[in-house]
Amino acid sequence: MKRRLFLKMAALCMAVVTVMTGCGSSETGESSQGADAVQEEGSAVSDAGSQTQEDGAEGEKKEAVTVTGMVQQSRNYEGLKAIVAKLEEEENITIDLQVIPDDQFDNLLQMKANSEELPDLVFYQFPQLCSQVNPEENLLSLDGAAWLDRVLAPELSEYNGKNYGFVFEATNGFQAMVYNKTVFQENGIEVPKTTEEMYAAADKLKEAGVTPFILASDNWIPQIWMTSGFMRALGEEEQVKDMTNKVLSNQAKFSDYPVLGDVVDEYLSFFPKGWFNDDYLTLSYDAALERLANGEAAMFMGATEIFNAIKAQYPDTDLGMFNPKFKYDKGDVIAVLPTSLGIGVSKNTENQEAINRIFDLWSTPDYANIYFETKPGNPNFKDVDGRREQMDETVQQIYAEYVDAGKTVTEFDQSFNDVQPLFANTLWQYFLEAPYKGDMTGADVMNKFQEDVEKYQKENGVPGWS
Amino acid sequence: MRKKKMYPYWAVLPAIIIFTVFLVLPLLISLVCSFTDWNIRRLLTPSFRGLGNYGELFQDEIFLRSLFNTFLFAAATTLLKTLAGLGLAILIVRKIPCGKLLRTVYYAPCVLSVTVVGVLFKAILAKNGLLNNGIALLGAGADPIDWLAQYGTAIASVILIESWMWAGFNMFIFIAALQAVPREYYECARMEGAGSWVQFKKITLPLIAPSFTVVVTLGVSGGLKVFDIIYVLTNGGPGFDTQVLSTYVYQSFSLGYLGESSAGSVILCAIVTLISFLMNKYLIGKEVEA
Repeated sequence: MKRRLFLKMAALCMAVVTVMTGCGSSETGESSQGADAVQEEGSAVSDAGSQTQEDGAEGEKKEAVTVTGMVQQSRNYEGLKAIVAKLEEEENITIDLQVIPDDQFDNLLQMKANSEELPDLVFYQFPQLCSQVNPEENLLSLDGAAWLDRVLAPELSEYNGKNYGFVFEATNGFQAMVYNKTVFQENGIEVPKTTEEMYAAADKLKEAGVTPFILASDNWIPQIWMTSGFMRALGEEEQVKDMTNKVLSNQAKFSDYPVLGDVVDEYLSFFPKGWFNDDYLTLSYDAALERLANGEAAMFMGATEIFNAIKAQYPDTDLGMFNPKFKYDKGDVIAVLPTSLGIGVSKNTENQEAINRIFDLWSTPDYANIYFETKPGNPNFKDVDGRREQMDETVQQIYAEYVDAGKTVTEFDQSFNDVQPLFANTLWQYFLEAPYKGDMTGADVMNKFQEDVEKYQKENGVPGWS
Repeated sequence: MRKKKMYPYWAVLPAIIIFTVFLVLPLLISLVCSFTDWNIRRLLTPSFRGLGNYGELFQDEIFLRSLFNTFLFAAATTLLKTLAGLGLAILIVRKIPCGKLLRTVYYAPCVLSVTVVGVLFKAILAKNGLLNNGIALLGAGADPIDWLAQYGTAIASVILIESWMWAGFNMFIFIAALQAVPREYYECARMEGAGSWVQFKKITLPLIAPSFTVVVTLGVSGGLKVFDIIYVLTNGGPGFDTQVLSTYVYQSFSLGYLGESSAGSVILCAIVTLISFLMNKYLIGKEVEA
């Protein structure tokens, strides 16, 4: 009896071992195959001349390599998809890209970084990625790569003097008012150049039954008013940096900068005037854009990226952008987003050579031009055509008048990137809660956010906050 | 003989292992974590905080509101789902035309994805949505209402939608119970001159009491754990008004406050367990056998 039991157990163990060995062999096989591929790729890259000749051999299929990656849903641009597809077709390098909903991305990123399970490539905004994960612990330094010589804004991906990212754009444009040109024309409204003109335009539009400014319930939309406004109210980049450093290092509080509260107050003052749509607590982003496009609404506080997205969605709508003037403005500046989608490489990657090849290729006009075909912008690489001439004339005008002239301040969200997870969960929510409840002033909102920042910094053990 | 005695233990062993690994162990880990300042950015260096997380939670206005909303939601949905389920079951159990079709129709909402239901009802409850258009057609209500933009109408909408979704499920439980009540009891009662209401009160209700135990326990525990319908329909808004415990914990976790969110989960777990246990015990005590 015992013998039979023993034999049964032995057979079971054998079966388990066989299955596990089978799986193991398969994995080992794959990984060794992958390693071989990388090895071959590596030698091909190191011997660039012979690689090119081999590649040039007609009909020769290159060794297949698969590189893993993760990207936010909203950043999985058409241009990115196109160059990923081209890479697979021409180089036989597949990027197995995990597309993750935006609101889950940061948590997943932190989890993967902390458990040392980052994919080979992390697609994220730079320089934000360097504050989300410690680049020195998690990312591979890209110093010494040939393509870095062609980079125009290396500071975006630098951390402690080392480069950690392949960044597509040198800047991500600016924040300004998107407006429906046809609605303005039909109501005899010129593009406002002063606060008074903008207020008068809003009154006129309201009387005509048009919603002057459209808001949506997605809380990243109302916040554009403030992320731009806070820094415009400070007026100079130096002030912006000073305030950011002081608040984040607990040397000052938001209440030390009362202009920030004024920005929220001016935004809040639009509600009782009926300048915003009254269903701002439930209207979706898409529905808001539709109202802007069909003329039910006239203006939408947005950014160049949003402007391009609306233009792509509603090609027949005549839209433009202008830099709105507010009471709180100090000086004539525009808020910019010195940030762009980029790629960090996991320190634990086994596909370094293939990744070098990808970056070499993607930094060339052959690939990078495709990226900008559907998303005109400011390339981060020399000789790449960002197709700025394809941008709307009003956008080009703002670029010339403000961005190229250096009349810019960095937006609040970008400046306070260290506390970025707080935004959607607290601050942006207050921007919707304050008009809904009607019992909060701008100063109240900022004080509430100050408490959130204090808690967050303490919880994270940030020096100066103990 | 000993082998026979051991047999039941071997049979439940897989279930015990699965429950231990996926339920008991995580619960214990959560309990331990709730006493620390564990943070997503300091995964490897948590330090002991005692009851600090619990203290902070009970001082947080939004947490207290979430607690209130959770109880309100659980109580209201359980009541509505139970009554609606019972009403539908009594209707369907009689031989009425299209009875089988109606069973399917009433049950259909609970097989729908919550996301689909959320999207549908967002469109229906929008300011220019189906509901307001319907009201306008009937000539009632001058100003359209933005149903999800005020606390009262938003929480009421969520409660009604949840009840609508799960009433059909409860209906099936009650149908099974009603069909199991011996017909002879009613015949005797009628011969004794008992009316419909007396029959229902004295025969039907006591004999379907075990179904009430199931329906109410499931309703209360499900209601206390609610997350999806709130997340999809209001996302805790307007402001933070319709936050419930699960969405609060989720938000806390999103900020990387793992210790605090563990404390929130422990509170939620304790509430669900305690209320479900007490409710179950009370209802079982009320049951009678046919």
